[in-house]
Parts: sequence; C-alpha cells; structure tokens
Amino acid sequence: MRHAYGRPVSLPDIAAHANLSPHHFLRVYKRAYGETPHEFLTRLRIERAKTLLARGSHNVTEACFEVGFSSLGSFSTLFAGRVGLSPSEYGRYARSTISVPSALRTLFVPSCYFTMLYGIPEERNFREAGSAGPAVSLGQTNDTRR
Amino acid sequence: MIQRQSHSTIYVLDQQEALGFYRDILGFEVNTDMPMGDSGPRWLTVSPKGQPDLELILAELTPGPMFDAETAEGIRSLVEKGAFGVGVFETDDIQGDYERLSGQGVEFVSPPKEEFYGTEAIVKDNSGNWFSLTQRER
Repeated sequence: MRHAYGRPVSLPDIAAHANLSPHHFLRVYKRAYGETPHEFLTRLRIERAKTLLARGSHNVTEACFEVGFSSLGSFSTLFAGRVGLSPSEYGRYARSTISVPSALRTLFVPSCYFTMLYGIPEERNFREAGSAGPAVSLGQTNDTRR
Repeated sequence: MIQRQSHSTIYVLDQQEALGFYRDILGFEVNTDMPMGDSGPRWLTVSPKGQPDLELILAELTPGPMFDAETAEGIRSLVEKGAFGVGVFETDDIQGDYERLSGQGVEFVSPPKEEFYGTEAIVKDNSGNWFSLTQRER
C-alpha cells in the first residue's frame, strides 16, 4: 500500500497478496494494526497530500488526484476533517511557515504525539459539534478503493 | 540511533497565556502554530532564539487519550502549585534578564545566585512551571 497508494487499491487484491480471504484479511489486519487497511490508506494519502501542498508543487486538484482520490469534494472534506484546515488553507499556511528566513524549515507536526495529547481532531470536532461533524467516510465507501 | 531531541513538552494551563509568557516576555520565537481542528488546543511550539531547532510544545492540559478529565484536572492543579520543573535555559545576561523580567512581574523562586559554574536563578512561568535561568561561567 505504501507504494500503490496513488492508484485504486482493492481489498481483494491486497488480501490475495497475503493469501487470505478479504474478510479474514480485514480482521487480522485490524487486530494487528488497530486500523483497517482503508483507514491506513486514507491516512497515507492525506499525509502525502500535505507534503505536496506544503511543497507547493501541486495545487489542490492535482494533489487530490496524485494521491489517489477520485473526488475533489470528498478529498477536501476528508482533508479538512483530519487536518483542521482546508487543503488550500493548509498549503498557504505551510508555505508561509516554510518561508521563515532563518532556516530551511519544513512544517512538521508529529501527529501521533498530538493525537496522544489531544485526540484525533476530527473526532474532537465531532464530539464538540454534538451532531454533524465532517462527513468522514471511513469504511462506508467502497471496498474498491482500498 | 537516536540523534537529537527535537521536541519537548511543557504542560500549560492555557496556550494563549503561555504564548504571552514564552514569546512576549522570554522572547522565544514561535516555531509552529497550527490549528488542528475547528476548536480545542492547537499545535503550538516555541524555540529559544539561539536554538530554532529545539521545539518546546506548549501543551494545554485538557482531557485527551492519556488524561481523563479527573487526571487532567489533577495535573493542572499540580502545575499551578509549582510541582514541575521543566529544565534549564541559558542566558548571556542573567542580571539584565532578572531586572527586566522581575520588572514585568515574573516570579523568581530564587534570585540570581553565584555558583561555581556561573549564576543561576529559578523562575516560574505563568502556569506555575519553574525552570533554571543560568549564565554559565565562560
């Protein structure tokens, strides 16, 4: 998945790699890693998109397709829910940070550490909003994109 | 192998007030100030002027995965009581800092004192954390 994240990745395909049925693979994977392959893939894609946006090499649409999303709308929603900023805001912010003259500095937020401190932003927003949080579509979408 | 420390955490009562202390009073530079979600604590790190690659995370004490509400409250009150030391900051002008900081109402647990290695004071931040402010003998 680390190498193929930019393309559609299907659960049956990766399960076949491991010689397991899709159903069994999903269970074993989740037990081992604490998240579904789809969650992992989404995380990977968002992280990659952050890099592309921060670097300024891709605009939002390009970054969206480059990392394997097929819908700009769902990419933006997902991105905003996870990162806390829209993709374009993030790109602007990251580049403004990078241009600090004192050093060649890249934006680095160790998100695992952040999450240990405060929880996952999207879930926090969800809790605080009480109802409709960002429409994060984990699991519910299509096994075809794993 | 681990090569260096990049981040260290300072638990604070309120990020904005802590920023006022570390940036506006101590003169640290904001390294990263990144909102993470619509509300709640942000990713806020500051660095001493001469050390831009050491990031001090100003971490607001709120309930999270590691702290339930009761624990967060308990640690808040311990921070306020001054239970935690957060390390040593080195200065090149401790007497000047002492005058300037005490003029701005910063609490000194102990004023600058001559030691064999230099001059050292103990200072409290505006959450209750204390740290050493030291000018080493050259």
